[in-house]
Amino acid sequence: MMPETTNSPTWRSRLPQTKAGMALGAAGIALVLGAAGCSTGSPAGPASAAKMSTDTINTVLTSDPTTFDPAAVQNNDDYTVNRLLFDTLVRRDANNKIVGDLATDWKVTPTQGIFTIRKGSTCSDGTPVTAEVVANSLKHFAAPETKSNFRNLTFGTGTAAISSDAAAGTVTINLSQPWTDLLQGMSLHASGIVCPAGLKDPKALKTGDAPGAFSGPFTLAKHEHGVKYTFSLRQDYDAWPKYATALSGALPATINAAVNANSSSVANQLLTGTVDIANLTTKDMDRFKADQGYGTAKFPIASYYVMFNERPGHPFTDTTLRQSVAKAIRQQAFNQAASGGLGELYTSFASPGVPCANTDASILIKENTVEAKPKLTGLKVNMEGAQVFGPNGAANTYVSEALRAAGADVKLNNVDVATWSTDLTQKPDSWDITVMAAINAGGTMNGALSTMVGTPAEKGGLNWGGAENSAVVGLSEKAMTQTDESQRCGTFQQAQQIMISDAHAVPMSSMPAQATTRSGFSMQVLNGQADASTMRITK
Amino acid sequence: MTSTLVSDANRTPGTNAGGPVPMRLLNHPWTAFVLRRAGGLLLSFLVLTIVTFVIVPLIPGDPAVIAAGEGASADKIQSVRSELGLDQPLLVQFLNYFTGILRLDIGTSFISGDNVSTMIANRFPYTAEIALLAIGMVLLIAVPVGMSVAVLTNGGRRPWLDSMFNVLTSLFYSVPQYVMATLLVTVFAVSLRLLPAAGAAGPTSLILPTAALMIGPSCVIARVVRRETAVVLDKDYIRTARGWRLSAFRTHIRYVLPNLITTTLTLSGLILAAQLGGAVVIETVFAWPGLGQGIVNAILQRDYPVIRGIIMVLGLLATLIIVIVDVVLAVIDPRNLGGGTHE
Amino acid sequence: MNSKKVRALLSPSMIGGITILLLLVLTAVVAPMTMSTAANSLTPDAGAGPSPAHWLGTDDLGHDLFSRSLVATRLTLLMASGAATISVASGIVVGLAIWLAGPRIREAALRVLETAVAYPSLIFALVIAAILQPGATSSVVAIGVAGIPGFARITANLASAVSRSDFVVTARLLGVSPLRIASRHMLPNMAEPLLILSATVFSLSLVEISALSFIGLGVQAPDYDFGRPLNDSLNALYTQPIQAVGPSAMIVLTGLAAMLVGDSLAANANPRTKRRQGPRSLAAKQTLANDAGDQALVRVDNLRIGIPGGTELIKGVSFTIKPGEVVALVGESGSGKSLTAMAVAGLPAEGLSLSADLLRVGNMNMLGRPDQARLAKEISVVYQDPGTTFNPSLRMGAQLTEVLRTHLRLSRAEARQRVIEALEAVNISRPAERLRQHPHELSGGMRQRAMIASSMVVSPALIVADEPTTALDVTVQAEVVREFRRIHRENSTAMLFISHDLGVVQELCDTVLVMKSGEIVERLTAVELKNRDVNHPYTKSLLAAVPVLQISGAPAMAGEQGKLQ
Repeated sequence: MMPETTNSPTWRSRLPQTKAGMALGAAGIALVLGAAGCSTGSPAGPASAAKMSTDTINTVLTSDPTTFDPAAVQNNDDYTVNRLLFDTLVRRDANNKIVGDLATDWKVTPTQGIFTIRKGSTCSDGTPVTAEVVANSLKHFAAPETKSNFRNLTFGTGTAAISSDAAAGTVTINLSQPWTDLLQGMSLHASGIVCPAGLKDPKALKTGDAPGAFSGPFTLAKHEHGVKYTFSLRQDYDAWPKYATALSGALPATINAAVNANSSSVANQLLTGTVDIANLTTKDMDRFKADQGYGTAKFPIASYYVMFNERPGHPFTDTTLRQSVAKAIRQQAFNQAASGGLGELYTSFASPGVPCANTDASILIKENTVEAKPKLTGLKVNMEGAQVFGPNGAANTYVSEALRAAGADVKLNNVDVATWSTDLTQKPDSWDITVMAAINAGGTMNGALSTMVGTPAEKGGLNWGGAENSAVVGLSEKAMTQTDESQRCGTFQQAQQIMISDAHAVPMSSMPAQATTRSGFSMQVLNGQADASTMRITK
Repeated sequence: MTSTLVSDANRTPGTNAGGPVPMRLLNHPWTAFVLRRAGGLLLSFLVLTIVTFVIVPLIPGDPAVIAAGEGASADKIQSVRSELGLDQPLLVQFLNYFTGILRLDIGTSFISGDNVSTMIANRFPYTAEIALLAIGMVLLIAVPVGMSVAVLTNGGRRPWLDSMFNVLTSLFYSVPQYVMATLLVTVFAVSLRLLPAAGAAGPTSLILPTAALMIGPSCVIARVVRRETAVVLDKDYIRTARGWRLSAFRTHIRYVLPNLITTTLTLSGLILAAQLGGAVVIETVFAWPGLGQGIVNAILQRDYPVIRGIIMVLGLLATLIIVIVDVVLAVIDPRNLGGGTHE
Repeated sequence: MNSKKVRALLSPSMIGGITILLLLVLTAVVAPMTMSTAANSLTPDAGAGPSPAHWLGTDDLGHDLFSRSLVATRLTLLMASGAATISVASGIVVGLAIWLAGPRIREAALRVLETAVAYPSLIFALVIAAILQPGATSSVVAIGVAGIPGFARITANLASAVSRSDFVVTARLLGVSPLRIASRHMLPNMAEPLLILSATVFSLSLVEISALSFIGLGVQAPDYDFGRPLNDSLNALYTQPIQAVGPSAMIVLTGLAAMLVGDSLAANANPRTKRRQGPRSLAAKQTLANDAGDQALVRVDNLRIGIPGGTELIKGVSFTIKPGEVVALVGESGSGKSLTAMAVAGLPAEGLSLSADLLRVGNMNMLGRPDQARLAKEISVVYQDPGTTFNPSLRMGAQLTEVLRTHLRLSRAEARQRVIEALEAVNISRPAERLRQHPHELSGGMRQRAMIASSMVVSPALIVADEPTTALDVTVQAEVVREFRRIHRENSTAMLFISHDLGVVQELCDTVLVMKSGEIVERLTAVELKNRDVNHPYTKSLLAAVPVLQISGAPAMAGEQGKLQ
């Protein structure tokens, strides 16, 4: 793999999406990159490319998509291609406002969602996207046999009964347990609508060999694994999301996405004009200046925090010891080590884009090495770190050296992500402390909590930390019944208070990326996510 | 191990002379040669099959965990494991793998579900392109340079050239490949904007990766050629050629060059084989979609079929290259058939 | 140790290499003791550029990069040495084991080894490092193991070469156990080349360990070698390139030192003291006007050859060769006869000074640079040691027709025809077939007769034959001498015949010049020689040492290799 952590093809894929949850926060960011930011209120739809200098956008994928099946998405590149190929019922606009995509109207309660399906939409093979087509796709996503990692984030842990009404053109989802994240879940990559041609042939759907499976604006024209993916704009497509501000610029007839895992070389390509739009993850971000015509927007791709093995027999079952670790670490130094200082310091283990994320820095445990030292001195600590967190695992290196400076006897095991995730989930006794980088794929507080609370991994759950923490579990269950946002956030604030002040998690910083466009191109970063389907040609 | 093979110019002495070869046909040097080579290929293939099967699962990290994705529950991981056939006894897994190979089916990726053969076929042309181009350029540059330096410094003349050559080749050889590659990119792509910085698009995109790839091997080959030339220049047949009053040019082309072929070609074959898989660094810096990056990614993803497939293909290619080199050498000079004496 | 060896050892590259290496070792010892604090402690001064406090800046954890580059020397040297040791030691064991095994196992093992050698070692190392989990030890093991096949192959090759040497064959006949032969007789004889290669393996290990770091499988925190800080710096290679400077420079320096030392060791192991002959341009005319009345074909007047500014090797030799005359130069090796003869042939040794009052063949001034084509047509040279006289990789035809095609501009077919006739004349059977063969397919006598035949195809005025019968067995010697006699009888070609064998000489020559220490000490006619009518004690001792050709069964001074002195 690449040396630079950030470039590794797997770091994104391996980051636990569930931990991230779905960001529905009020603090979503909408950034228009590149030139011509202000667009008029013209209807969202393909603008004419005739006047533009090109009809093609060259971009990169950091690794090969692991799947083209929405229900199975797991890495960042899966998300990128997913947005090009599949539509969802709704989308998140700036500030996490939900807008229509395939659904023109919806009505949701904690246990039910009724979605009215847009008329006249078609699949890439011409099949109309009817309520039945949508319902079948969602049934597939929700089915336990599909084993989608996003299923519970979208529908909750109860059953989901999905039905369609052809006459009314509606799809109804009934949940057996309340789950107020359902509407937002319908904007997730994983809930992308798969056309019948795809559902009929799951294997072909996975490998991208089902040309009729796509409901989105592009089709996969060509795919050479390891080399390049080519997407073609569908001329018959018109189901654009109803964003409040229409995107300016012309749609590309073709998108070429070459596989390039090396952020520095991507930066070189942007500088020399062979790539038009890309996300950078290394210090190469600093090579692009707005006054040179480049559009840049930083966004967090993961949230760093320190977490502990809280299973019996491990040192960090002791709250004081965990708190001492928090006191031994400086956020700023961590951020410098992990990303050269390009990340943002966090006040929660969930990124600020996650709804209800804590913004109150006062609940953080302050650095205090004087207090930490007596507690940590002589403590034997097994630290396991993933090499992709910071260059050569510098994030882990920093934490281990800081603990060592505080007197702890730290053995750092810096391994690749595959080994790291295997050890943390399958060998729960092999580690005491680790640095976690949780992706913000959907961005819910539930997702952010799931690595540290609930059923432990060895008992079939998603909790790597191993302590059930029933108080926090209870709070998050309560939040899912609360439709009122401020009530829900109050509940989640209590949960975060427990997690942070008891140092179950020690919030650190963001893992930064920067959407970068060359002069003449633009892309939107909405709610902390770069959306490939918003790539446009502006010159 | 390219440069340690420098002294490996002389092919392994044939050992078949001692074996019982009853039939007359078998005594024909080419028959024996072909049989030995075919046997070698088969043996290498078998060893590779077993080694790739055994060695890959030794890499820590559970492929099922990786393939399931990290939000996966224990239940999902288990179902992925059985889907991938990883819950079957090792012997069954091996038989499936082996019979698959015999049917020319090396499986599908644990991660993407693509055919491994397709994945390799996608990458191979890119790998072959720069590897062949690089080795060609290495020969075009390093052989004349090495010969010239040997001729010019022969008999202890021009000690400064001798030292300069030693220092420069050592220096260029020692510069880490990615530092060299980055320098090339900085100068020729980012600053001068003469050549593409990365990516495989068109003939110009070949130039920088090839250049970066050929510098190390050029130093190795130039040094070897120089040393071999110095040895050849001391040979009696060069004295003979001088006695025939041949011009220096003709002497070197006709009498020195052919005697460098064995070493140079053998070494080039090894370098070529090494570059087919070992160009990882260059492939990374230049975003070149070659086999090296393929195997690195596959290892990171614990994608067993892909790791095995690439290891296998590289091994067969390596063996094939050796065979081709040996055949070429044997055609040029039948002494290389292996039955004769080797100095 | 003689002075030459000392001089070779102290070559500039050796001095340079050893100096750098010593400095590196010193750094490896001292730096971790004195600079560890700056190199290893976390400071808030992170990601800084160069400053007086931090000459090469700091990394993102606030480590001082200059001290880090120096402190890393220890681990790097240890790792590269460790990996090289694994490759070399295991390689030798495997290589010898293969050689010791039976032929079938050896054959199979060599085939597998061949694939292993050709296998991209980086991939090899990558898989091993992945299995062992990244870290200093696994890098060493990975690179070390990846290097084993190459070294095993080299050892096996060297072993098979050494195993054919006399002492090993003798030991084997005496029933010494193979293991003992390997350890007592073979290893010591392979030690030198193996040592030199070890230097190469060291620098290769260094390069590959740093490549492993690049892929992320190298040394892990808190350890660091040169590769890790370099790898860390890659993230900022375009934004803070200064971070890469220290480790890059150290890697290059170490590699350079190892290779320079390796080069010097290799140069010392194969000192090439031979001098090259070749046309050399002296400031003189191509041709000379003959003095009227000087009938001699060759006239040598006061020929002096010496090491410039040093010993004189030929001290004023003068003689003439009349057309059709056969003149012999005899003497022990070192007497200067070959130097003299080659000066006459226009192939003076390079690097030696040459002067004479007169040195001509016909009207060609051999002190100048006569026309090469004319030289080729008028003076033929026949060398000793037919085993290596012809280029082993070219067919006989190509070589024997060389002069005809190059200098007489004959077509390939014409040249072949002429050579075939000439070969028939020296009684070589099926000459057309011979031309398609390689030199090794002909017997030594046959090659020497072919050499003589090729020297005759241009009908030269003079044949310079430098020990043409040495290294041939006695019956073949007689044949060859007979050929010279026939040529002389049929063509009246003048000859300058060099030999240390008076028996051969008296059969053939009109005049015999006895040389000792660069001087002609006695001039004899064939009759005088035959009658043993000699005066100089040196000549007498030569005569005493050599039995007469026809009655002798013993090879003449078989050990004499007759290199150009």
